Amino acid sequence: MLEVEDLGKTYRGGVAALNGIDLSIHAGMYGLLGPNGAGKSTLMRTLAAIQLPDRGSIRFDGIDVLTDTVALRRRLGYLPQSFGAYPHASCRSMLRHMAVLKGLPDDAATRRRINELLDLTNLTAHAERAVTTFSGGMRQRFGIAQALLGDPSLLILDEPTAGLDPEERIRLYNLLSQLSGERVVLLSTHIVDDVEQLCGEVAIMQSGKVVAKGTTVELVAELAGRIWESPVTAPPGSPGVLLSTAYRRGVPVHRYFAETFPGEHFVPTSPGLEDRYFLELQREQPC
Amino acid sequence: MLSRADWKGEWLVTRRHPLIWIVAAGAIAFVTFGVSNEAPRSERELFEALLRLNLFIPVFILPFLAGALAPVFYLRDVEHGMSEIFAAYPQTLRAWLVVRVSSLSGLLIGLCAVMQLVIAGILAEHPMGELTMGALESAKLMALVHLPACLIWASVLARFSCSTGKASMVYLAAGFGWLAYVGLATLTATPLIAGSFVVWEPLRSAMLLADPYAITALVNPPPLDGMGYVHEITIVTGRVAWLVACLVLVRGIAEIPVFSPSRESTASIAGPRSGRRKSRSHCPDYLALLLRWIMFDKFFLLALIGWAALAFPEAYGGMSYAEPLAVLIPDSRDALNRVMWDLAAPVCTLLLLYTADRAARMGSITRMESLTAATPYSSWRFVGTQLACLWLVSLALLAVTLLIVCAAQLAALSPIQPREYFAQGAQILPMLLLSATAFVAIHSAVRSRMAANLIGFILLVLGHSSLVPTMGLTHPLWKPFTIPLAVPDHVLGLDANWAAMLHFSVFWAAICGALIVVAARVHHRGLPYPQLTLRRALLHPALFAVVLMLAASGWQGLAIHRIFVADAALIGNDESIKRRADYERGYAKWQHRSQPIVADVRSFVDFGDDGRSADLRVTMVLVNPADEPVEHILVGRNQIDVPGKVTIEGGVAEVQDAVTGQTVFRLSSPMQPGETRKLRFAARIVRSALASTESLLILRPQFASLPAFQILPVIGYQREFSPRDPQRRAKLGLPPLAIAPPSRLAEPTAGLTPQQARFETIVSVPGGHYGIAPGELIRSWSKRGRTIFVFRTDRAIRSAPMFFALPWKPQQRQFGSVKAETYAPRPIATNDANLVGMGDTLAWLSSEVAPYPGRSLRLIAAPEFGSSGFAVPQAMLISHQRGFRAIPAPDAGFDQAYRRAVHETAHQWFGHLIGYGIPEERAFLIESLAKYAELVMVERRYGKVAMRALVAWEADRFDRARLAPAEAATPLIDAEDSEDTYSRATLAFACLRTKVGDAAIRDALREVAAASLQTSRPARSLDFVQALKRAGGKQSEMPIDRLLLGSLSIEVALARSGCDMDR
Repeated sequence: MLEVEDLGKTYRGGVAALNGIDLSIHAGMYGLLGPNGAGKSTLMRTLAAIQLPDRGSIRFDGIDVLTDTVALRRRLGYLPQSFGAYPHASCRSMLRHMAVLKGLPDDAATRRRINELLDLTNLTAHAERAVTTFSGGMRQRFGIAQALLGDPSLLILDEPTAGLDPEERIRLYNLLSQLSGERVVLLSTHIVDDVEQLCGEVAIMQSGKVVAKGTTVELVAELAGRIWESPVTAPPGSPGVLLSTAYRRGVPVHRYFAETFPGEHFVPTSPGLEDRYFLELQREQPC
Repeated sequence: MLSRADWKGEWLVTRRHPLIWIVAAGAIAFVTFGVSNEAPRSERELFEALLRLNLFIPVFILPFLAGALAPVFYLRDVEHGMSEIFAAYPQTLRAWLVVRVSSLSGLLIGLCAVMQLVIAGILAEHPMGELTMGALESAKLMALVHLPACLIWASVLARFSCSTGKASMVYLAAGFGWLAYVGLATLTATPLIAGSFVVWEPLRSAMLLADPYAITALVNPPPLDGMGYVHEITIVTGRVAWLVACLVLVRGIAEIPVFSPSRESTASIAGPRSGRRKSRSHCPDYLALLLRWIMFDKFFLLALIGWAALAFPEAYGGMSYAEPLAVLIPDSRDALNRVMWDLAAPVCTLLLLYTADRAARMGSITRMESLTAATPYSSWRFVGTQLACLWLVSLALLAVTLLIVCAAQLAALSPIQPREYFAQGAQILPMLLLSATAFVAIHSAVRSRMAANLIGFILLVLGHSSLVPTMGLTHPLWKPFTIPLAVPDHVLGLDANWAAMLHFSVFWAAICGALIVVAARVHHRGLPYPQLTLRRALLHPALFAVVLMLAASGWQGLAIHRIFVADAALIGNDESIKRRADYERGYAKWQHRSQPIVADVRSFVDFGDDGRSADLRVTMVLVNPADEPVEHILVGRNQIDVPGKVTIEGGVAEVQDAVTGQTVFRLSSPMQPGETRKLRFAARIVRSALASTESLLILRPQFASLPAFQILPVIGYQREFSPRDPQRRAKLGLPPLAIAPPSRLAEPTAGLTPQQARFETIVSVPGGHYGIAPGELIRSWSKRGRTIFVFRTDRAIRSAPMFFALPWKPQQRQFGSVKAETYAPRPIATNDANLVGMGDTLAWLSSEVAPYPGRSLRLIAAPEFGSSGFAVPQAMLISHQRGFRAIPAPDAGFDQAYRRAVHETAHQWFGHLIGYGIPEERAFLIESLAKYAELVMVERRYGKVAMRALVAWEADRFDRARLAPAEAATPLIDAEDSEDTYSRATLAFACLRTKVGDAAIRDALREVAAASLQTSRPARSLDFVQALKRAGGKQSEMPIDRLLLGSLSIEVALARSGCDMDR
């Protein structure tokens, strides 16, 4: 179990990237949602013990992450938002190199595990190519393969589906779902649908703070009966908050959060995690 | 269409780059520092300083400025991943090039202008400075030198940037450009480069036009045959040609295949060609990966090729170089010496800095830092692996260097001594390992790549340049991560270096160890964020180890410091002059008080068995020559400060001044006129293995020399110890020194007696060694493993005693009544040039000028002690390398060894018979007359052609020493600069020989020597000039006045005297 208490980080210039984050994350997939600049990547790096917070504590299965970073890293699989590769090494040798860095023995079992990961990430055919020659999706799959080296009990994935085509994205999510049984998989993304489908629990971040957290079902259920949609915007003075405007087959669809019927043309609709996400962002916006 | 906004926008972007401000500040600081060291004493020197400093800018500063700044202007889009964005902008390649090239050129020109302002401004503050002159000269140099040079560099690096798309290649190009120019300048005798000479005249002629900075044309004076206008046209034509070449170069960028600034750049980032090669490596080891990462780096490989291209010719062409017109039959030591010390150490360290950057930043360069940082691979292992990698690279660099030298030796068919390779390699290696360790630590601890490289570069410059001593920091520990090793010669060898290596290695290794521990603790793991809080870093047990290692280093540093203090090696020039100023302030009043003189010196010198110490016990018999009693005697420290004890018979030390080393003795009963007293001096002189051998005081098992004339206490106030430079005196608050130059010197009132003494010396040396002292050897015997030699002078001679203990049996030869003894590591032939020169000069001067004042003369082969020759009464030191190992070069018109032997032998007359006793006199009677002896002896022995070759060589030396040889000069007899007292004097005497004749010069010398001997009155230069005029007759007065007393440039003086020296 991963426990985060009062985590804070302020960059030079006064930007509070993390501002009193409290989280308690159990085994399974945990989604971290937030707009750009919300502090998700800072939180991910801090949880992966590669960036120091200004205050707070992080514990993972009894390990004080901030003091015993090596112990955490032995159980960690980390995929950063962006990464490169050494130009003179093939995909397989890179995985072997990473395995050594992770403390795995350079033996037949490790090589077997690397082959399995290559299979799992659909990279077997490209195992002898240099990673620097990979396409964006292939490189991302390599990143996932390396993160899975060593059978980590904590997987931190920062935007893992960036650059993946739909098929690869689904394949990855299936894989993550299979893996998440006994381990903590922390998934950061701004694709709300992905989190809603995959994650049992979710936290929504805004301006360095967690503005909402809980199980996906609970967060959505709290909005039941209070989400409305209409092809027109609500008249001024009507109750409700505009959550989003989207076009569905060329027709505008405005979704509102309102305790009572907002007005003519509005119909009640079932809430989704996206509604909760937009609602929390609206709440945090300054008046 | 470009508008002002394009340049404004460019400036708005680039001005935010810190590198621009850092290099600008560095360049200005460098120039300020350089100009502050100038102390011109005349208008000519002021003009030369202005010219020299201006020419210094393009040669030594501009390439580095351009190299550092070019990537900011040409490659910033690539480096910051913006090339694709800009590629989509509607800016043409031509517009892009115009803006970027002109912006970089403009910035470089602006920086040059600021540096010029600094130079002109500081020099204008000089008493002789004139702002108008500085401004006009600066404007001319800006137009002819700086402006074209800036355009050339901006264009060349634009081409390199666009061709390669890599900053490293731009740095390499700038480095090669700098080295290539310095190499060419060295081969074409540019006065900016010490030790440069013309290897091939057509090359110098070509450089008159092709020199990119026009320096060759500027420093070579136009011919005086009425074709002076050609000189200006040559300079302008060269500038125009270079600018056209630059235009072609920049225009050619459009022709580079698949080039557009952004497309090309993108290719460099997204798909490095090397990455497309299928890598089949399966070695997961981090060290192997690091090594592969470094070894496959194109820049590293190119740098190695560049290093080979630089080192091979240096070793091949330089191994046989002894001095101009003389060559060696080289061995491995000669070949290695050309490369290992001045070149290999800094170049390999620079490559190690680059390698450390690559190794430590591999993660961030390949953008894998987050992946690797999140692994449990500990920071200790990261740092340790990088360290192992750098150490292996150090070994590889050393091996490559040794292989390059070996190849050069094979190509030159020179015998190879593997042991020498091993020894020199082993002495250089610790320095490389220390630097490698420091660089790894810095790169591991400092997150900012630029800051880490800047720190590393500063350390490198401090360690491997003369910047630190120039700043007045004489302590060798100010040179970080370096070991002050001496270049081995064939007398002292490499042995002494081992001690220095051990002492300094321990000191720096402890610091490196502490740095590595700190670095491993605060290692950034390739990330831009700190990985440890300060509190945790301070509380970690590793801090204890750091403290321990720093304490060990401090202890070792203190030990080194004590050794250097004991060796008196830490007194810098500034400190020495300050002490002399204190001396003058405190004791100048003593110059008017009667003081005794030294009449007899009885010494016992005991050279220790360890070869590093000598006990000196001296009894000096003092005589009161005045007609009044002496109650107080001032006894002072000599030039070399050795701890010793002085007592005077019947005297009590009344005042002891430890700072200036003066003691005032009060005599219990005053010394009556003519009365004698004994002064006793006892000292133990110890020189550690770390002591420099670049002085006359050398105490080594292989060679021991004790310049007693710089050690024995001096009586009374010594006027020659006063600081003489007017500016320094003013700075130190001393009144101007009223010293009349020799050309206006009145007849001396004091005789030579205070400068002369009789000597009796007992020299005790270890068994197998031979002792030497002034005078004749009376007897010698061996006892308990020691040999004792007793020497005594027949009469009073110039008081400049020097004692030796040498492991070489003397070879004896009789020249008339004089017994010549030669001490050298190997037996020399009877027709050896040194012996022949010595015999010829003894015969000529003894018969023509004055009898030789003694019965023996000793010629000693000396290690490289900072000079090629030195003479004391009855002994002379000649560099073993240049005097005994060298032979004339195939194209030499005369034999340098013969010339030098003549010169040093002549000092027995010119220096020790006449030429001393008047502090105001300068070097004319000593060095210039010895140059005259060279001319006569070379002509007599080898003929007129050889003599003319000697004159031509001296003329060339003079031209190269002077940036403006055509400028007016001080009268020759007043001159102090070596190019005047040696080279100009040779030209002047060569002319006088034709206009006045050798007979007249001989008569003048004879008259002056006889007068000095008979009257015991020191001779003046003017005495010689007047004697020469008398001997030469009325018609000789004009050329004598013009050449010896006139202020015309030597070229004009020779021309007006009707002397054609084939210049």
